[in-house]
Amino acid sequence: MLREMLIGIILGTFTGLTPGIHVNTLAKMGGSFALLFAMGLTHTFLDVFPSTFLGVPDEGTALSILPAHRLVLAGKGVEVIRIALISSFLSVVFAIPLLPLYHLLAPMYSPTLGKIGVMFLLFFLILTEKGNRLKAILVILLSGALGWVVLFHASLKEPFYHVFTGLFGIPVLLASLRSNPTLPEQETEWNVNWNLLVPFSMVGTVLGMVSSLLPAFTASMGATIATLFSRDERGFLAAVYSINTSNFLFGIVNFCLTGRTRNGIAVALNNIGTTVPSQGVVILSALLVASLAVFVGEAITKPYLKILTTLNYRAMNVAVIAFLFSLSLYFDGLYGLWVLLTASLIGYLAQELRVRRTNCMGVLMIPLLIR
Amino acid sequence: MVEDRKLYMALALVALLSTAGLMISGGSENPSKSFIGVCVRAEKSYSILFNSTHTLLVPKPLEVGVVYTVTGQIKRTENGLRISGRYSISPSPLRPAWLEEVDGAYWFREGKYYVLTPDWVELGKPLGVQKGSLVKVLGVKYGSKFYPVDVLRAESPSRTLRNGMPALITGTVLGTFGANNRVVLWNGSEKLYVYLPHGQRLERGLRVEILGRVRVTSRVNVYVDDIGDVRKLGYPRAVPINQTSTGAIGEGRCLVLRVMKSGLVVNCTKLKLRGVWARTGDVLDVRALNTGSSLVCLECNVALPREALPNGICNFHEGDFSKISGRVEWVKRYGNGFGLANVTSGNCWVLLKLPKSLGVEVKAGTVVTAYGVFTTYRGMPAFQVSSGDDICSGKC
Repeated sequence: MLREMLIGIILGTFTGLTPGIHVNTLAKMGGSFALLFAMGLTHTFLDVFPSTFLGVPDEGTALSILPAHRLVLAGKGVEVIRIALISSFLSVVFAIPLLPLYHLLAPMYSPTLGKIGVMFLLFFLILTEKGNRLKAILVILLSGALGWVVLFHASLKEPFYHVFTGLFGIPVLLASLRSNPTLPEQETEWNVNWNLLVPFSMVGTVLGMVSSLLPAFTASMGATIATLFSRDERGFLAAVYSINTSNFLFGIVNFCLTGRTRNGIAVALNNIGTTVPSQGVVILSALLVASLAVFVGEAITKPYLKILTTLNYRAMNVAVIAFLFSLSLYFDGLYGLWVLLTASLIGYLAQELRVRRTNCMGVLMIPLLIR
Repeated sequence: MVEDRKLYMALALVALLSTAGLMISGGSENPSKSFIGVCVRAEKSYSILFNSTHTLLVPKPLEVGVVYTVTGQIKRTENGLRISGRYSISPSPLRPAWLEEVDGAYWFREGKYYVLTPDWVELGKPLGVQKGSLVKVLGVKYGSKFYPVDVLRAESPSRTLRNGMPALITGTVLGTFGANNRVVLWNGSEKLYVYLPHGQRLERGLRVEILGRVRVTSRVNVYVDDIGDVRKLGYPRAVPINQTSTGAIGEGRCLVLRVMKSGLVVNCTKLKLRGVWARTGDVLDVRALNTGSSLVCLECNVALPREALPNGICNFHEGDFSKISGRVEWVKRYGNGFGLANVTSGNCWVLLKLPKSLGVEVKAGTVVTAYGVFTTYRGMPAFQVSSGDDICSGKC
């Protein structure tokens, strides 16, 4: 079991660090519970690297791109990585006392509850918009229309890749190209602000738990709620990364309890019909994998930054954009590229209109409300 | 500022038009495809179609066992194919080449439906034909079940006994073996051993029509899954008791000639009569079933007790059954235990044989009554009985 767990951590490191490669892609190959679980959990710790430095998001980290990128440009990239690693680890720890509550809540599945939550969230987004609310509504509607088309009227292998990369990744990279062509020296010293991380991780863990309960309520929406709690970039990032990890962990617990498949790893486990271990084993495995993932993340940070800083940042951004477009083409051909371009246009518009980027989450919220 | 607004409006418009373009094109690189499959599962919110190699999830309830044609965007996922976006679905009159045929007999029990080939092929839905019917079914195998689409042929249940297959059998219940729910049935040519459901029984002599599964071992066993598969046809018309054949009911009046452990020897048939208690000399009214080896009483009563028989001591006919009664004049016992008693009544006398095995002693001067058969002893009229119970000495 330990051997499989280590293999899982290695594979999770690969998917986490490689931009555009989702853990679900490797999960389709199957494996034991220990392997798949370790791979999925490690991925949630390490996907901070491509999203922070390359602007390549996935479903759980999309909203972190802008604040993370802002901190990177301020030379605080290491801080972002550490916030991500620590808050992910904290979410594993905070998830443990929530498990008894989760046992009670998990069987009370109701898509309607999720829809109600999404509707409230949408209203909150609009009402709390500091800029022009009409502009926010415009962005929500445009992203919603795109989401509706992509999710219900198109046949794409990786629909989320195109929309999230387009809405959240490309505009940040474009802005970066326009404003600051060099990657500043990254500060390596950073003191952990526990007073900030602990409460936001707690909130993030609870939101991740909720989003794993309601299928209509995704991790990104949990992150959207987190934006309502804090305007502080670091607190927000802590919440987002905690949600990402806690959503995965509770998704697996949900699978163990009810057999429902809330994430790609759960689907893979369901497909191979693996024996579900006891909850004690899941908790211990989570703590072990989380500790090792933090260790791996810490070990990788410096060499990763060293490579990045030696590169021409502008050229790298251009290369990343080209890479993202190529991936889009690879996944779904010209149609996928078209979706990516449209999403990028909407993301860019949100950026230019100076409304909260969170409004782009209309890409999921509107289709869910309509369906 | 105005130019900015124009730019934003232009961007929004382009985004909108682009989205509209995406919708119209609908992923033109994944053109609309058709999928023809049999519905193998239907739930409230989804159905699964199967085309012998792939499954397609359709988000609406359909009818199991119907061939559908789906046209639309079909996505390949780790859980099989899924319909994506707009689609159309309609029942199809097509019968694709990948549909398979299954030949056998339709059967159901405990809420499950099968075609016995004679292997048990479980069906995904009932066929709507009579149980036991010989059928040819067109459908598709999915998981452990066969999902019928069409019944190509349906014939009445077979009356031929084939191992592992159902058969419709008509016969007479001869009796039970081992337990009340296990009956022996005579179908006119052989005995069948029928296993009824637990707690069920059938009366002896009853004619029945049974739909059961045949299992041939050293004998023919028939398993009845449901007592509803047994139809009672009533009792056969009785014939004279000396004209019965196996499975027939005979009626008549019979004199008991001898009582044996294996049954009564009576004067009206060569078969032994079982299922009734009587004494040698009793006259019985008999209604009995011929089981092949014996007659088994369905209703037998003593019509005339042996005490009412006339004294036949003066009507000596060798080999005839009779009752004799008289005084014992003398008794002689030989060294080997065999004895003779002279029984006299008026001018008639007869020598009553008293083998040692009878265990009976008679004394001179007493009155005896005996039930047996006239015979001779060294040329003299004699009388022999089959058991000690057939001699009554003293207070008779």
